[in-house]
Amino acid sequence: MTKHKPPAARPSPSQRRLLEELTALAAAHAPDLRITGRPRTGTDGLVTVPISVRTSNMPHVAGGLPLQQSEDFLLTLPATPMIPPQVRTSHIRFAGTPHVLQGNRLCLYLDPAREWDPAAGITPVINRLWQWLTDAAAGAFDAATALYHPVGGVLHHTPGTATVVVREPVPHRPATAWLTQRTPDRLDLTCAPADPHSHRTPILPVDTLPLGAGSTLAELLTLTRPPTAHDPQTADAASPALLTALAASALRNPEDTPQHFVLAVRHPTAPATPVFLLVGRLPPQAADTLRRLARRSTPSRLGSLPEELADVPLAWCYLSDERPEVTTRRDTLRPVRVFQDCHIHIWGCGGIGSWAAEMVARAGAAHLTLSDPGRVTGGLLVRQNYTEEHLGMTKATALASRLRTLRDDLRIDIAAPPPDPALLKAADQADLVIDATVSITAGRFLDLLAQQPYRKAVLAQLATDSLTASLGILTIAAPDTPTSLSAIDHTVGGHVLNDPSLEAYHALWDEPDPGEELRPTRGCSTPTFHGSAADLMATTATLINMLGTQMRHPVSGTHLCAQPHSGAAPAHRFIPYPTG
Amino acid sequence: MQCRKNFDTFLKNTVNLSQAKLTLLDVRVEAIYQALKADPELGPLIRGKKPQGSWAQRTIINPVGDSEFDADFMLHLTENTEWADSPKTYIDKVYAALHRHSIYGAMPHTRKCRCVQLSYANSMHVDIVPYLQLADGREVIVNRDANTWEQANPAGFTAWMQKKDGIANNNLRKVIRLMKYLRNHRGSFTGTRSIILTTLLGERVEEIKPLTDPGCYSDVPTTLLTIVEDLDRWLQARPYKPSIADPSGSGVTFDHRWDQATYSYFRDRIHTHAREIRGAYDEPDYDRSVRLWRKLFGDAFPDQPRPAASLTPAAAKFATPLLITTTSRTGRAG
Repeated sequence: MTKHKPPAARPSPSQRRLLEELTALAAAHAPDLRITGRPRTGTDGLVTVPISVRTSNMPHVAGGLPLQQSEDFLLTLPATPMIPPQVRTSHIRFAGTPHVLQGNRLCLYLDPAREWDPAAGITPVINRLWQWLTDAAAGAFDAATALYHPVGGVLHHTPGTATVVVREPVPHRPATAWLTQRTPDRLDLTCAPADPHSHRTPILPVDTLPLGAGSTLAELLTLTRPPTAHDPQTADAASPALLTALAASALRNPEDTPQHFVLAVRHPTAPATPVFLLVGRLPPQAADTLRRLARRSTPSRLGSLPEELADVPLAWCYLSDERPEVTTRRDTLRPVRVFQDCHIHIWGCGGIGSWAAEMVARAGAAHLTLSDPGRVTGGLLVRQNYTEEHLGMTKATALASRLRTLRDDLRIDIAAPPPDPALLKAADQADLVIDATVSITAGRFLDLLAQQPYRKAVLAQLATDSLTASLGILTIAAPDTPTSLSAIDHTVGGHVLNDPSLEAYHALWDEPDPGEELRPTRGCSTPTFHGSAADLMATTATLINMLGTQMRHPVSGTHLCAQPHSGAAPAHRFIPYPTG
Repeated sequence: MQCRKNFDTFLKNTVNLSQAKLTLLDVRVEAIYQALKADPELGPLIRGKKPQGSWAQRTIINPVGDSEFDADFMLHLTENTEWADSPKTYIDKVYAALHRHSIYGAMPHTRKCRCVQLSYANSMHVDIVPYLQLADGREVIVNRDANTWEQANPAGFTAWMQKKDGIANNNLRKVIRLMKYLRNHRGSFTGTRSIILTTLLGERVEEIKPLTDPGCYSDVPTTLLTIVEDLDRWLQARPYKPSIADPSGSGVTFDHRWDQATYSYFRDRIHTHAREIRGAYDEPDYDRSVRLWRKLFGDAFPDQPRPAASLTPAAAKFATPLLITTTSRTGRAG
């Protein structure tokens, strides 16, 4: 039988196109760009091309990356054009420079989905490489945003691992933290055990990780050695402190459970800033081996890495780093920022109130007081912020339970509806009272609160139209005025009804026609209104944004707004309440 | 101004056929149907009935003055192969059954081209339209004058109407009623049959329209403006009578139901009405706007009492002190 040599892999059409473009580019830009060897197609389908970039003319500043006259790279072309080419070096001289992964891989695309255009060809890739070299030589990377990639880099994520949520400060010193499973996909890292099932997790301080943290325990122990003693070729020089901490934690955690650990890594150029975090995981079997070894000999006497653990594969967990010192809220420039840390009363948890509550809760309100004794029934789910789980509960109770699932740190009270005397101090104690009840009684009660001297709260009424729920009305009584919301509404209503250009909003002051409201069930059912969740969420969101905009400098008056699909014009109008 | 409330009142009090009359229609049609089913000769052939025309499509309007209002219903019959060569036999048999009946036989009843018409004393008649599904699958009604079948697809027409009315947020039927009112009561574009008017108005309703013009079907006056202006543009691009296909998909056209003179008159009147509707709609002054709407629809178009802002209704029987609130609900929801 003749033994045939397997046919050499051939470049895919997209790889051939990139190679042709690269050849043409090099010919046009010699000697700045040169192809220095033959393209090779690996068994994995990747095509690798050696290239050289002339860097002698790139300005170098003190602290910038030292470059040779020209630099060599390996350009790897994926078999599919949907993945961007990669650039790496055959040396580790660039290790420690921002945007270098594992010492030799250049990160040219932070977000390939938005930055890589499969139709653009090879030229943008070479331009990005050129720009990287120019910036590196000039020391132009911003230390705050250009992460030192081994920390938090994309390579430290093993598919299938749970996400670790970190909200508490993490020190750069050896310490013990606790991991608690909250959902199958989530582990919370805390400085104290959250429940009896929390697992001990060592925090291991590391100065820098220029070559990454590796994929086996042996690599990890080698790479986390102090940089002065760094020698990646020496595999047996393990970090005894790390191994000891791992063994000590494993010993006190249950059998057959994985052992996690946290690497707290200093920023190489900004050591005073909060540490970067990596969370790794030893599989249960390896953790059990570590436990067994630690029982034989105290953890501190384990010495060098036992051979049976050397090649244990590490998993790296995705990290949701929510520590305030490293995280910026995504809404800080938006109108709702004003609700952050506020105490807000929400009276009426229906089509408007249930969504308004969620919006201010997500905006960071510290304390909500909810009031609505109505019950959640199935028909409401098409437009109100409830789920099947809430059927039969009072709306305030149901909404509180929903909001508690949004944020752990939100305080929620449930109050009796106005005019309960317990609410008489509401306007003095809260920052904002939102009446979304469309209740005459609640409106009257708010009028009473408006008269209170030195009241603190902005008083606001939110409503939509009973025909389509796509119009919105927001009436505000500023804290510095005793004018009641009823008076504002009455005055503004007169203005609106006399203004033909606001005809679309006349219905907000008019009694609905018999056919406009809906009687959803047979018999003497309470009239309700038409409107979808989309209508009510959109209208409520618009009103909440208006309210947020006004909260900083409240002016008494009324906002009218309409959703784009309603076609009502004008889409927004503010009618100030005349003063003086 | 749109005067939306005025339109609601106008439709409810003036244009729409009253609920009492609709109920009367229901009762009478059911009685006729039961009488025909009880007829020993015709009864065994009857398979069912279904409303037809403006009654079925809910575009029926109040008649002018003492004029008759009518309802059509289709009498679904089993095909009798012995009458295959003479379709008009079905009309004759229905006529004969009525003629034999102790009550209906004494009432005025006559054979028309496509139906048997039964007249009541109080300004109302019912058209009974024989309808068959032939063995070859065709759905047909009878043309007695020509003694032939005419293709029909009542379910298709209903589906078309429902679709178009849905796109127009249930405002198309109201607009059709308004335009029929304009024709019947204001004497505009006389000669254009209801089926053609309905088809032309309905075909102007398009799903893409609200994407480019949000809210164009949001209420009755806006829908009226949108559809009539769209119809005007369509007509102005066609100086000569276009072919109007049955939107039910039956394959027939309504071309024979009007001529070039009727069409030209209709085209001119719609052009005028489009301008009048635009003028009334855009007029910013309420009183002037109502006057313009009245100029179009006549004095029956109401001058709606305007609401006062959150005041106790003045018409309340037991007067209460004037409060800055309302004892009735506003058009608000939360």
